[in-house]
Amino acid sequence: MLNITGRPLTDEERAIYEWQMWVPGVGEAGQELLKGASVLISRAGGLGGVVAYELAAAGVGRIVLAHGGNVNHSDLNRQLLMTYDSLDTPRVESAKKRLNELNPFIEVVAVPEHVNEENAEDLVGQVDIVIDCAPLFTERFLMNRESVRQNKPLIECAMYDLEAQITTFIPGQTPCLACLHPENPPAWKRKFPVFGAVSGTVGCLAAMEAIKLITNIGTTLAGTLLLMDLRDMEFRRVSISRNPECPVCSSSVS
Amino acid sequence: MKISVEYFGQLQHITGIRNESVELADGSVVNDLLNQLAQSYGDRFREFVFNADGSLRKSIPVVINDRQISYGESVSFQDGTRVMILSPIAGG
Repeated sequence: MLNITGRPLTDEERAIYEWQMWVPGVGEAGQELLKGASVLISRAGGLGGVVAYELAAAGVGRIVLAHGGNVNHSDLNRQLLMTYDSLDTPRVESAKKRLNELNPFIEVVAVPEHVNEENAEDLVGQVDIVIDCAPLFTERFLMNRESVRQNKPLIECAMYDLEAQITTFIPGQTPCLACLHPENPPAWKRKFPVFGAVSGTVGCLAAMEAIKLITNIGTTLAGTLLLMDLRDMEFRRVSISRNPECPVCSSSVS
Repeated sequence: MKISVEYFGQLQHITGIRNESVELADGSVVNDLLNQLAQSYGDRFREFVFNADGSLRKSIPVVINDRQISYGESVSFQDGTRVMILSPIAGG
């Protein structure tokens, strides 16, 4: 269970979140936890942008976005926080603007760089939950390492073609990313086929995992990899195993 | 014996199919299955799942009957075993 201190709501926030506070187990106490929570999302593209948008709508109080570079034409089929008008401007600024247009009552921290060796420890240290939406395994492994070191849940989501995957890693309880993929996959390329509706699907699921972790409702995908093939709408759950010799998490698992 | 094999991610693009039934010799292990598939699908498949020295790439998760097996874990197949060969995928 996360150690989050709830923050009291204003009357306007009660009006905004009324419909979700009706969800059994949430109520005003759950909404206060969401307001007190912080998440790191790397990156804010097709996947992370949807995660961020849903968490902003849900009232997560502090969203840290790490994403370098400027908006390109090829971002616009899926990166819903980027707009045509923001072409050639920093992605993370476009994302922050869109999030605060939706919800001006949350704090959005725009970090204009990808997660890297220099910033990973600090970025993970700022938040309660890490959500990995990065396209490169070097970034993903860095977030995994820091999440394990700092005992932070890592929601891991990915897509390719019409497929998507998601799981939630809980240090000390579940496998970590290095258990699932013990080495950098050499065949993976940063550019790959995908529709925005695929990244959006798994992005919404990642946001739901974060909401459940924060409000302590439902059951997360801890220890389970959800495989989705949207070509035929087939969803499967796979039990994933910890590697007893994992160089990242084996010493943290009791 | 006959088992079912499903391919995910880039492996669907390499094999051109999503799933198939595979006839496998009794006593086969995961490496035998993947070698047999590499003979069918060629070098691109082989290079995707095997290192140059012939060892299985650790980055390719193999799932048997809905449970990911550990690298090097000895698993015996039975008639009807369901195998998923996953591809590492990411965000963007």
